[in-house]
Amino acid sequence: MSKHLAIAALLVSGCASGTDPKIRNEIGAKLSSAQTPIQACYQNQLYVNRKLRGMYVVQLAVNGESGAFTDISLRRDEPADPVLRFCVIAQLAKLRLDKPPGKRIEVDSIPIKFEPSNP
Amino acid sequence: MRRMRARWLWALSIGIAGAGCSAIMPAAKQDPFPVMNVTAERPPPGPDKVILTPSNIAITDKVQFELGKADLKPMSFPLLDEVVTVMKANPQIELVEIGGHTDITGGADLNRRLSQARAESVMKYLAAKGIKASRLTAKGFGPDVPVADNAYPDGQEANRRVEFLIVKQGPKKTVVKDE
Repeated sequence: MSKHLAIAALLVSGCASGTDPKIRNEIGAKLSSAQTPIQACYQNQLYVNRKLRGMYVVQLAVNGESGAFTDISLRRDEPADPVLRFCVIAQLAKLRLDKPPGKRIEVDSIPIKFEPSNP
Repeated sequence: MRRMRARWLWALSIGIAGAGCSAIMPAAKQDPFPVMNVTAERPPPGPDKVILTPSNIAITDKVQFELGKADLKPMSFPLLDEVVTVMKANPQIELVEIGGHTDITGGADLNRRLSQARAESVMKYLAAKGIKASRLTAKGFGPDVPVADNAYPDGQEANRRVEFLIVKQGPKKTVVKDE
């Protein structure tokens, strides 16, 4: 019985271990590549609303077959600006992993902090 | 009895593996990605509602029109007068495209025509205030270039807008002449 319990525990721990570190790194690299266009989104809206600042927590999925970033939404939206939100989501939606991961990957916590560089 | 329990456990293990983790287990708590710090320079504080940026003349207020028409509401005249002031003070701006945009409510063709007429209304106002017509062009985009999600009222509100895009500009001129 202990053998079966061990197998079950192994399978369950496999479920909880999260994303493959290699794929996670690739996702991180793709997110970093979007920083400049996201910064442009922020800059454009700061001209319109100079008080704009705050944190986003983005969740998204990576399509297993195409590697495309899909189902992008915000779990937290402190700036609460519809134009910034739309622009950032549009930039993230352009991302695609070079090598499709083969299975859908869900990422539930990508924090993005917006802050003016000058007082 | 022990044998049955063992079989049950084995079946459970295989079931978990076969059904996929997400179907059986609650979503595993993931480590968040590192915070992406996004910074940008904000314009200095002031009463200005019109700000010259490298690519456009940004307005912090909206150009208002009569409902369903291209007639400017008088409340928007001071805002457009500021645009005039900025254009006169920056003669290096050689061509500005006045873009009219709508949300997706109503017919797209009607919205394109309305936004074109509204952009032309703004152009006429600026020209009447002394901006050379050769520095201005008007284009109505209707709902084709949204800047926010039309699924929500705040997004629709953001999409109903007039933009002043700098299409062509030369080197900064220090001498400002009155047009």
